Amino acid sequence: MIEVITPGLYTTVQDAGRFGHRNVGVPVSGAMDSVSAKQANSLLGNENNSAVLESIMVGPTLKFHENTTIAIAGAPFEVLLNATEVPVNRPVSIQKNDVLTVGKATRGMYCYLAVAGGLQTPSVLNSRSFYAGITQKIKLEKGDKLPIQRLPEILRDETLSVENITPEVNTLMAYPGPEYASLTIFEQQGLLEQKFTISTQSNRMATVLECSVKISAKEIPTAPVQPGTVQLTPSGKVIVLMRDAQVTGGYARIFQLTEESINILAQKRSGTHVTLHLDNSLS
Amino acid sequence: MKFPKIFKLSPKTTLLQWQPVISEEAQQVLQQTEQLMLHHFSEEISEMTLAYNELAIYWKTTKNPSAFEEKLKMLLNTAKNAMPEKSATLVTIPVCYEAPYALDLAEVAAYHKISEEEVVQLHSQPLYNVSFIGFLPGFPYLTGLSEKLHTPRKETPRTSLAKGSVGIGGAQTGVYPGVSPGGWQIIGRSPLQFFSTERASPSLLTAGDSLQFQPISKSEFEQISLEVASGVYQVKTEII
Repeated sequence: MIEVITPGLYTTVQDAGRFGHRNVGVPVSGAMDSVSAKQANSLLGNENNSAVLESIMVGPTLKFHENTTIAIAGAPFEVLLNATEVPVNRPVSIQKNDVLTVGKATRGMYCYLAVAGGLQTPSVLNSRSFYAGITQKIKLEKGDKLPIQRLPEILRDETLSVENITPEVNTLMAYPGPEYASLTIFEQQGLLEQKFTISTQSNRMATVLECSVKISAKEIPTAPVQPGTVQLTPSGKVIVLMRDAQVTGGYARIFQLTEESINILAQKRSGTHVTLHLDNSLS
Repeated sequence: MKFPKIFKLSPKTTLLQWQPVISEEAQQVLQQTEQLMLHHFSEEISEMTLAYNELAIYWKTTKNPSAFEEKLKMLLNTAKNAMPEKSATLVTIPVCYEAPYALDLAEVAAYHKISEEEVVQLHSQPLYNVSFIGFLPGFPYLTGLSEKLHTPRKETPRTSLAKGSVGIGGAQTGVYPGVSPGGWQIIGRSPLQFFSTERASPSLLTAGDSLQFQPISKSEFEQISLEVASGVYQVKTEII
């Protein structure tokens, strides 16, 4: 079991997502940067969809009540094990009573802490990803006890390490959305030439992109949306839906980000600039 | 009903798009197409979502069925001649249209210059159709609200509405399945549990259901609430 000493800024349990219930309005959820979560799991030989701890900006302090192995991947954070700096992107042995402090992010937004065998918090509708109204918990709180698997001691190759693989680029690749064609050529060009600024109003549901040109779109009859859908509102706001997005929405869907670009965007702090680049490979 | 446009949104998402009209007929075509897809492509499909005039198909992998467009055309053409008789589950939703639950009933009545009793009557009379579930887990999008009750949303949305709140927002009516912020005019509350992860099918309502609101008194509301909490309440349903 892992005891939460301090919960961090907004730490959640996430896996690869909750599938099969969008038809009754249940969001997909799952790790914001899915590639980094998979990487943390793969360092331990876990399944890709094993549940991990997702930290944003400031992580938790955790006390381990049993021996296990962990791996941290994603954005670089200051991580201490019993007051000693600990490497990321590789497996780390944990002894009973060890205290791990996931401090501040030095770059980016999210890091992922995987535990051998995956976190064993309750699975609701086939997923352990926290979501209000679905799982009992929404985020970690002081005193929480997170069950883990008691696995037979296996010697892990602690020299195994990987590079951070969510690229540090500022170009997001996007497929044209269903309402892209209803924009004028000038509006399309305006959006593709625009240097967007990531707004402070961003969370697991959506990232708002500030736009210096005035482009807007009419509302549409409520239609399906998903993580990565880029919406344009009648007041000219550009909203990129992220992992906890609703399953339907009424704003024009002008782009759909590639899966890789969703991960890249997830790691962008407010104030950074991004541009959109059209991917026409599907048409 | 025309053949839908096929829009490839991402390597794992295909949208089937019909004309942008909101009607019960359109809903029926969408729901029947969903059934056809489920029947013929169950191996390849991860899940689907419906909305007013689009069906989103989320594929399991980026390798979509080959010649999908031709197959779909053939299926829809064959199905057109053999559309089954519409049968739906009619779900009765008890609603208390009284204080303290009917927060905006007086406001809605005043807006339309009718009595509160008439609002309740106009709201509880029609058979509504559940077009789809969206916005929040278990939130039903209904068609069938009387034009006499179309009411603008509140200027300032409430930060928290109680679970089961029944409201009107523009031309729409519906029930908030859980505690949520919301801008709709609240005219009553239902004691039923609209979404629960403890049930085999978590959502009380699904796309294609019919629904009727049944006015109940405050004491009936309290009685049903107790029965729901102790798990003995039987939701009234019938096949129509």
